[in-house]
Amino acid sequence: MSRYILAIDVGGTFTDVICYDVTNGAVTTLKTPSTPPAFIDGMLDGIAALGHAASEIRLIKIGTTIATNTIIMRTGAKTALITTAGFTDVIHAARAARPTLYDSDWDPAPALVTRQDTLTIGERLNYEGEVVEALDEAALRKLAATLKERGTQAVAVSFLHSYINGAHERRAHDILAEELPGRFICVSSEILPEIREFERTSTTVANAYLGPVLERYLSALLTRLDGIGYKGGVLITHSGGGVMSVEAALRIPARICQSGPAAGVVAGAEIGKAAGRPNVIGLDVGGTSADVSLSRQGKPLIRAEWNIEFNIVINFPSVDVATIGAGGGSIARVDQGGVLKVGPESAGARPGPACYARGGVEPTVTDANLVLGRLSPETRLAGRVALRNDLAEQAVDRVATPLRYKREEAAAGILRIMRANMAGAIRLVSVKRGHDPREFALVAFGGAGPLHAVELARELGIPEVIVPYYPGLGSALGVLFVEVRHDFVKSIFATNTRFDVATINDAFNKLEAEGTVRLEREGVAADRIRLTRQLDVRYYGQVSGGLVLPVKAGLLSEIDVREIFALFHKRHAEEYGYTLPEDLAELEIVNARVSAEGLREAQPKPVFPKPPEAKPKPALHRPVYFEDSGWIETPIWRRETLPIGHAIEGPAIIEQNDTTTLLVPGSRATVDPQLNLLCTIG
Amino acid sequence: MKLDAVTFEVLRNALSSMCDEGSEMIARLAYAPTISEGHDHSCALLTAEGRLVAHGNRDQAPHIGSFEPSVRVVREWIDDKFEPGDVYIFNDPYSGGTHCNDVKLIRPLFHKGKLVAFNSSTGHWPDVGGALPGSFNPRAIDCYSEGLRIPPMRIFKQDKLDKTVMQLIAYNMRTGRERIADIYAQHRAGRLIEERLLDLFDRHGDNTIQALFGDVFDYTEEMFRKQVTELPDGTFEFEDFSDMDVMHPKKPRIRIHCKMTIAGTDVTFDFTGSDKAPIGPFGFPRASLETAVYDGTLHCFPHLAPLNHGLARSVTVLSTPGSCVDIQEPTPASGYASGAYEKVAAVTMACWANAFSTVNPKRMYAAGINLANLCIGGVHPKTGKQYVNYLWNEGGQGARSYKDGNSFQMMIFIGGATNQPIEILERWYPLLYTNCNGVQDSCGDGVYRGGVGIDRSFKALGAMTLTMHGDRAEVTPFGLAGGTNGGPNTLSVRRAAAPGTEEHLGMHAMGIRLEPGDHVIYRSNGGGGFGEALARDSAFVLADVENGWISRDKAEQVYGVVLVSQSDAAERLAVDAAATAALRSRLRTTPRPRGYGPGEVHPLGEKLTVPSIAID
Repeated sequence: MSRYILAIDVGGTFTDVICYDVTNGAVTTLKTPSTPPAFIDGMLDGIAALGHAASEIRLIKIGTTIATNTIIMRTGAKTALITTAGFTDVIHAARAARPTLYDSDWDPAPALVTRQDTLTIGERLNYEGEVVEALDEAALRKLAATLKERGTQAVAVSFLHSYINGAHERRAHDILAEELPGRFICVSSEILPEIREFERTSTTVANAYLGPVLERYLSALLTRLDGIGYKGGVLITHSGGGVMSVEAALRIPARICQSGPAAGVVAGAEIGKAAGRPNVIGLDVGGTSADVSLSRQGKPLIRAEWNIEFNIVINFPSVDVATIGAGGGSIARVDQGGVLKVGPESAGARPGPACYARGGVEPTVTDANLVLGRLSPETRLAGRVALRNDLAEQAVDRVATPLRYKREEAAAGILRIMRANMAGAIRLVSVKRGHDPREFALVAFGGAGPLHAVELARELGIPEVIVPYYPGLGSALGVLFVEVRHDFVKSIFATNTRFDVATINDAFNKLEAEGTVRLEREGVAADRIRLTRQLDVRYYGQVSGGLVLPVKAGLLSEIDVREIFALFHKRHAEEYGYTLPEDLAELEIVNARVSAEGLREAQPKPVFPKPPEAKPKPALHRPVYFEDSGWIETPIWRRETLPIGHAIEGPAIIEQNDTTTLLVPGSRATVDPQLNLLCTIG
Repeated sequence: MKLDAVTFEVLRNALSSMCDEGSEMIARLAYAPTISEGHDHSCALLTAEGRLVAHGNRDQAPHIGSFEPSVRVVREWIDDKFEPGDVYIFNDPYSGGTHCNDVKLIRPLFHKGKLVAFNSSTGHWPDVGGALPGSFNPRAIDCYSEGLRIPPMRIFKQDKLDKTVMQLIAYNMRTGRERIADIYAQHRAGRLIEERLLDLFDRHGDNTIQALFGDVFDYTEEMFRKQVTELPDGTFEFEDFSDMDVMHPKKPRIRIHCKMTIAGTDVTFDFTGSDKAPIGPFGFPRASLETAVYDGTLHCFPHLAPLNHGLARSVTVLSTPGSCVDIQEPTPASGYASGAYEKVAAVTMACWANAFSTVNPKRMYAAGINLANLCIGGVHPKTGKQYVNYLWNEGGQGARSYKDGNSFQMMIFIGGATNQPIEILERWYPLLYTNCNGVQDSCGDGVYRGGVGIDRSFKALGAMTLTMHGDRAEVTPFGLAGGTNGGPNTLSVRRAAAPGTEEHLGMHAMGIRLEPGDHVIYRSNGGGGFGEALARDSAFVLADVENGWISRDKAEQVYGVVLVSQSDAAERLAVDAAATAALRSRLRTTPRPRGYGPGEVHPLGEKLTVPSIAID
């Protein structure tokens, strides 16, 4: 009988596999090297290593970095963009924005289509969707011939105002499909029917750019899985914190970008929920970067805008993850003004921190941790290298000497600045979005997350830190948990003085029907489908502000719509402290949003390996440096020896194969029934 | 420095982060599309003495230097009798800098009953009254026709809006009621920054944060002076011109001249060689001169950003009162940004380029796009509502000494702004755009070329009034090292009633009446080039032609590169190497004309060279 669900996260370096037994909740985990560019090999290695017959596997859920990598490495398909005549450079001008004020050396990331492959065609709609100029079909057929000659593999079509009327784009799609059989073609009114020409076009172009790559990847994957006799379903994770079918992934491949970090956020939310802490801030610190996120009532925050690179915008509703250049490999240096800086430059995996003995000489966060005894030479980090204390000390001295600091002061300073950078990122997703970090628990993932989490929580007033049993498998755990989910948006323009309730009902009905059909096709039973409605409402006059308001299910009456407007005033007053005088307070509905979610299977309830019952003892003691108290002889515990209910008082270090947890004096950790370490901050 | 190196670094970034947050809040809440979509707004934090500590990282450089003088005026005016919850409004150009459209809110911040800091925000309001929609007045002879001048007035008391003051303001500008939304937006940002700063005071204590403010200045000054010592001592001069003094009968060009002197760690910028203030608008008050000098300087010392008082106290700026860089009431100021500001920033950078040429030639940048402020106003034919909006173009960045300039950039001095989406503009205003595409061949040429300008032409769908206030239609962004000057800013109209004709409007068009169907042709500057065009790598020229940045004609006539067709159907070209070599040697015998216009070689810019730059 088929009893296993596999959750696989294919990262740049490692492929993580979690195998979940639906009959008893048992979980086994596995880490195997990724095999770029043939990622599928590594994935199949992982599946094979589990040793289960293919017939025993009922579902495979996959998170993959392939879409993100394809864009960052610029290895996508040869793509063309067809847009409205006269508007060649909507995509190339982007928003003409720069990340900083004073930097004439900065260059924008080039668009994913060349200017030569940006072609235009006679057609024009106005903002109400009325045809100003008909689509020049003959010219479009001619363009198709040119593209054929150029070897174009993918075509994006984005016309002005297509979010309100997609007819020209649909017709263009049909013509191109006839003229360019076998090419990947997508149109903006289907991919992201939302106002703002650059953002919609950029998302559509990214989608086309990824289309052929994902087609190859997914069809090879299905063939290989078929080859090992696997007959079950395959689901792919996406940036919205959900999974979708292979069929859907082929249609909207740009949705897969950033799916790994998104899944990690879901893992944090689920772990928090299971531990009775529905409000969590997620922190995942790796070698070069830290991902920070926030979930409230078990739901990750979603944002409507996302830049994969500055100027390369993919505007699907996505799990809100703030990434900063702060990780174990972040380099510390003293600048000309005599100030200590940490990151964003990173020593990466090569040469890596100085203590890796691979030629790195500059001090990194990992070197600082080693100097302070928080890591030990026996600690095995990425690639399982032994760490060299002497090299770490020499490296840290490179900043200690010019600052006239003692070595440990310099190392502690490096960590303090690293924490300040991470605290900044946490404030970005919490305080800045109106959430008080003191009402959240911090869930720490990654090789370096649990090492910094307790001190970071203390600085931010976060009362509790959760270190999951598998802190190195955040994304794979997330993949296991995520449900099938699709997000739909449609621009509708109505104001509180001029609205037609039928238009609003119509928009929701269409989006919900689309969501239901898609979920059912993806194997979700009708009674498991959850539909959530929202409206973007703002003052008529604001262009980018506004609030996203919940909307009840079913047919809306005029009174219901008026209640939504009333809710806007109330929420605006709460959030911003004022409402505008009546003559200025015309309100506008901008977008209707529908999320369709559902589980194909019962919600996984993983049961981890049976914990030990014997009373544990620290494996050893070693001196560890703490900023307020200096060197303290500190007990070092092994995580796998700790039984449920066991409590450890800081100062202490808890080591496990993929991470190290640091408890500062005054903090305390308890092992909870899910085997999480629940750390309270003294 | 009073704080240790670690504490300083931990706290310093918090200061500009809170300004970033304030700025984002303004964009979210404001009604003015100049602010919410175009991001023409800023937030800053100042000490209790009114010294600039930090500003937002995506703000507008011209606003930033005006915060110190603005807070100074408010402090003097009300004699430092501030109460918590007070907010002052202010926009006077002569004492504060910039122009009337930049409306500032200034908030004193108290910690435990003691005044510890100020924050201030600036938003470019779409209209502040005056003769014309948008308040830009290219033919003003004094400031009284450029909008309402607001002296420091308390507009919030205990965080309650003073409706009388608000009404006075709203009565005197087009779409004045909508500005209430912008006032609330700026007020909310001020409260947010207050919350954040007080939190910092609570967590770290009064002494630490006050020490931090001082350290921020010391740190910047020390970094700046250290780097200046690496540059040779000496005097470096550069000058540039505006197109014209449009109100003068002879329409003379207006000269901006800078003599920069480096002596040890001291730097002086002497602008006393600049022309006296023109009759019409162009110049700016002294506070903006300083801002423009800091702006140009920070482009050559980018790691010193964000700007703070530490840089301000490290340089000396000299000017003659009554000159175009130090105007006095009532000389008009509305067009200062496209006028004196852009020129001062550009000549400041050229002086630094000269100083850096032997030490770090990467810091040499040709000039880039200038503003051409376009304002429209009228009554929307569909909604019957009055509207005003302010439009601008992105364009070509100047070439770098090591690389082409980018196309479609905002002016270097409004780096935090963005373009405004056409789909949004068409929903709000009776416009139908016909273009958003690069202006082929508008780049200045060189070994490295400038970026190209953009064409954002549109048709009017209703009757409206149009005003243009810009510059660099004739004296275009200068090239360096023999690179040519970039293409012009242009504005013209093709009247629906007169098919086949095009009426040139230029950069000082005032109150032009448009009828439905009139087609406004609106194109922006390309950036200046760097080095001799004939030495450009022919593969780059080929790519430029294939990508449509330049025409085949320009490839031949300016770059001496002969291209042949490789595949007609796919529109692929190739370089004819032999013909190219022959053509280039022939073209070398006829030097390019010297001058200040498009395609000419700037006579001073030409002298700024690097010993060797990469050539093919």
